[in-house]
Amino acid sequence: MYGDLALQLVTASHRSTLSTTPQLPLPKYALPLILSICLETRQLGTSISTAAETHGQVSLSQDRGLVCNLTVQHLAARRNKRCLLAYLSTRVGGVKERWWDAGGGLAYLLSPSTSVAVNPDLDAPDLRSALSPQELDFLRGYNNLMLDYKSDFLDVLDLTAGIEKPPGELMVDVRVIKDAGEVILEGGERVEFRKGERFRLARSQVERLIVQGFLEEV
Amino acid sequence: MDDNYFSLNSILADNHKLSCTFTLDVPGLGYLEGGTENDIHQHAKVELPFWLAQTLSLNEFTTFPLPPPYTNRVKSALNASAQSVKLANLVGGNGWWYRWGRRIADVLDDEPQADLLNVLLKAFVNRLPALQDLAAHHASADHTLPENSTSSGEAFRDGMEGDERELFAIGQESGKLSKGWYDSNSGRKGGR
Repeated sequence: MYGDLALQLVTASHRSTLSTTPQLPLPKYALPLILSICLETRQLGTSISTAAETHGQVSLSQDRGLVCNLTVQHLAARRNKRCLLAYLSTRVGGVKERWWDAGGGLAYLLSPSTSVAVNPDLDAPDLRSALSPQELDFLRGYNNLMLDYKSDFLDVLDLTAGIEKPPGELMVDVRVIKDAGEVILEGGERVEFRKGERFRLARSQVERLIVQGFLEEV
Repeated sequence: MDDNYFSLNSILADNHKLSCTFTLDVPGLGYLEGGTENDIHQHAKVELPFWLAQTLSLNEFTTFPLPPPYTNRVKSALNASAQSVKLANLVGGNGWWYRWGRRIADVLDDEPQADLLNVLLKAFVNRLPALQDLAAHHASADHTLPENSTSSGEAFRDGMEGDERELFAIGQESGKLSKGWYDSNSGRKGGR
């Protein structure tokens, strides 16, 4: 029946949003299913316009059976549209959420090694392969927009920093919990972060690495 | 309960099936019945999802009786003891009893509409205390008792419909958060 494919899409999407903690990886963009829904909708559209043309104005106002038939097809097409839009909108929400979770680190978000629990069963091991090209464009655009916005007052407030704990002092003791390699800090000094080592650094310099889970406050 | 265009919950709730009767012959709609016939005939009974039934009924192509989850029988049961009615079972385990009821009310005429909305509201008000109570104490409840599914809390939990389950999850989560906040506060005071 019409609308079944769209329902399938929404059900799957709904299931993946149910558990947010721990956050599931974003499922792969369901391109084949979306294409078949679009095809179904286009067929409905063609069927409606041919029926309307062949029967003409008069029967459209008098033949209730015909009107009912067309209404059903029209409703099915609208239903498909709503399901598709809701699917996309839900995914965009998920993409934004992940951007904030990563502290606005686009490169970190898209690098293949970031998925903490690499699950071989999944067809989309990392975020980059889960997104459609349009969603990737959106993520980049959103990233630029946010960078632009927050740079105006970056000297007093970093919007993307975590808010669980208000900062108490300027310096912070951190322990490396994930290898981050060599990092050049804002002051120009190079630091090699290897797992298990401890550092005492200015909070503002390593904030991002803490949010992304490379460092842990001691 | 958001009724947003983009809300997945609301889309799924619109998919509840309604048993409709067609008021006229319609050529070419036989597939709705699932049979091999090409046309649909007057008085044919078809299970239609709500998103179809709504507009069709508003235009008087179809009519439908009040679906079983909202009939007088359920109403009296709710009056007797709202908390012991298993709403989830009424709408097929994974459904949204309130949402769907509200959508149906949209299609009804004035009097039955007010009636139905009243039933929904009363049911919600009467069930809310139990829901709140359960959400606050479920984690600390004694689960060491032998599988005692007759305990009223567990029975109520089984009967929660979609939005109630969501409220329950929110209640549990916020209880956990405020407990965590209390603990972290006293810990810091003790440390200094």
